[in-house]
Amino acid sequence: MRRLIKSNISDRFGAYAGLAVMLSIMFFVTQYLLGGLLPLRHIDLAYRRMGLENAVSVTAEAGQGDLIKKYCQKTGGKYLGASFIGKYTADGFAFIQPVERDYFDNLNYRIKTRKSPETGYSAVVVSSLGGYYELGQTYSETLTGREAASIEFTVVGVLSDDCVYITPAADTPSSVVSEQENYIFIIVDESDENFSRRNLYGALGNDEFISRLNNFEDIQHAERTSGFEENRSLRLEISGLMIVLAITSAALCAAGIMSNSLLSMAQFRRKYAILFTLGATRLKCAAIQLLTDVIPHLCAIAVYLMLTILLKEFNILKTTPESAMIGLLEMFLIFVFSEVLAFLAAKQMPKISAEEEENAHT
Amino acid sequence: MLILKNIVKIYNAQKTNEVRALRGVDLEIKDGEILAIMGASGSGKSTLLHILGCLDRDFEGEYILNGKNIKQLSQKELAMIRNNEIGIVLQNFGLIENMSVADNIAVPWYIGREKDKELSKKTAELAEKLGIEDKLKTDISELSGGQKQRVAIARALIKTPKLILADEPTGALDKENSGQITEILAGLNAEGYTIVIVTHDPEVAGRCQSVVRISDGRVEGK
Ligand SMILES: Nc1ncnc2c1ncn2[C@@H]1O[C@H](COP(=O)(O)OP(=O)(O)OP(=O)(O)O)[C@@H](O)[C@H]1O
Ligand SMILES: [Mg+2]
Repeated sequence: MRRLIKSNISDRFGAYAGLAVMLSIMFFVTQYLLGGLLPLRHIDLAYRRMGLENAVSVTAEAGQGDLIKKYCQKTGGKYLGASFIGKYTADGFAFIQPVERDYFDNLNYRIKTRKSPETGYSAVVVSSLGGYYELGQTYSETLTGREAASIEFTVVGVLSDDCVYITPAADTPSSVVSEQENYIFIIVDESDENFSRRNLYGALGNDEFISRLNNFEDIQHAERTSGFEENRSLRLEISGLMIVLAITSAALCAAGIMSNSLLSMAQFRRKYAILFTLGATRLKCAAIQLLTDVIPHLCAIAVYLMLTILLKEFNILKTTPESAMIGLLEMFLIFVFSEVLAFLAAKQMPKISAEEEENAHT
Repeated sequence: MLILKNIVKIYNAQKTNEVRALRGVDLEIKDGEILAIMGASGSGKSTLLHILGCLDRDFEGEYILNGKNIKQLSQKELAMIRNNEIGIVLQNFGLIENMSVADNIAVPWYIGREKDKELSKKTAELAEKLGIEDKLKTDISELSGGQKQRVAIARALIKTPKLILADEPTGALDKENSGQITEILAGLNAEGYTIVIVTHDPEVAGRCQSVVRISDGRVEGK
């Protein structure tokens, strides 16, 4: 039997190589996609760290700075000024945050390194100016808030093109807007390329202010989302995406395995008919088929798992263990399912094709 | 050696495409006999050979092979009989591609559970007997039709079964090779093998001790 399995495997060597290539490509694609989602998770955490659960984002049209200023006055909100690019939080963190509604969808997050800075990160800078901040460089930014302030920081970690870790500034003002319940970021809706700091408007206010702001007809089409809700839905979206991707990856993997099994059975039809004639039971043919495929399939899965665990750069198991585990579990179930199907089909095969062989003569 | 009693084989019974392939075949084949089965296309020769080869247990009537009632055996026991007691030569050689001649000859041993320490010696002896000793390491695809049929016969003999069944063993061969293969089969019969050959070729049938003609699922004469 070993000889027969050996001959089967050598017959299908090309197919196994193809399967291995497919699984590796899929691994990297999935990991790349999942890796791209990591900054979102960090931003999500950052929101919490910064105590910005109540931040509210509003999208308006270009050139509405004055309008917003007017509304702020009318509704009791505090206009933070145009060119608002960030603020200090109570505990001295700098947070530069564009919150355009489709921001997360539009920007292509790409992970450069997830190395946690040795000093420990003290702030997260989120900027749409992709690649603007470089690792190790020191920058000085002016923060226009209620009181103008400037911050000097060194980038100690790059999370993505749009998200970096910085050191806390030595002369950090204690707080600019610490006691406020709600922060409003009004972002002029423009395409990414034209998106500049000048189009960011900031305002301060509470719930009442927000509801009043929403009543103004001029910004009727303005979108309003609570940062907290946005975060929560974002988080759901992330885990949803993770699961979808995990399922997709598992399904692709299973599809690869299943089609390999089916092709291999199609290829060996005649062989099993011959073996049946020469005294193999159908069960034995099916067992040969199963062993032919199960060995390379398990190898492929083992390699897939090893890559997942060993490539720390891409390691999703650490950040989203649940969804990764769900994906793997599903992959395993589909794998078992496809092998059982292949086994049952192979069991039927020798007899069918033996009859076909005979019919072909007539 | 074997007795068939009133064998009826119906394909797709009770369906619209029902075919009555065998309609009551009685046949007795004695030890050491060499028998040709002839008949028009579609008359049921292959069906009969199928049953003789224990590939099909789904028939009416009785088939006693070496004292065993085939219909009462399990699939596993049937497989054992196919493996050990019957050597079968298929029409299109039925060899396994991408395998050497030696491996092809040894396949019945690879299927079985037990091992034969003398296997390579036996394979070499059979190859020599059939005149393919220089091809043992060659891949099947590099052989001529006549050589392939010799490999198929060697494979049928590797477990030294008493009964050899051959479905159109000369069907795909030229006249010269056809004659040689017939001589090989006749020679095997002289050594004591019981041989059943399904054939269209009167020359092959002429070398046989007896000829059975099948027409429309019935034996016409022996
Ligand atoms: N698996 C099958 N299912 C349905 N009908 C079948 C099957 N195998 C054979 N038959 C039918 O049974 C009849 C006898 O077929 P068989 O193959 O035994 O003929 P044959 O004598 O071997 O013919 P040939 O000389 O052409 O090989 C034919 O009518 C054929 O169509
Ligand atoms: Mg036939």
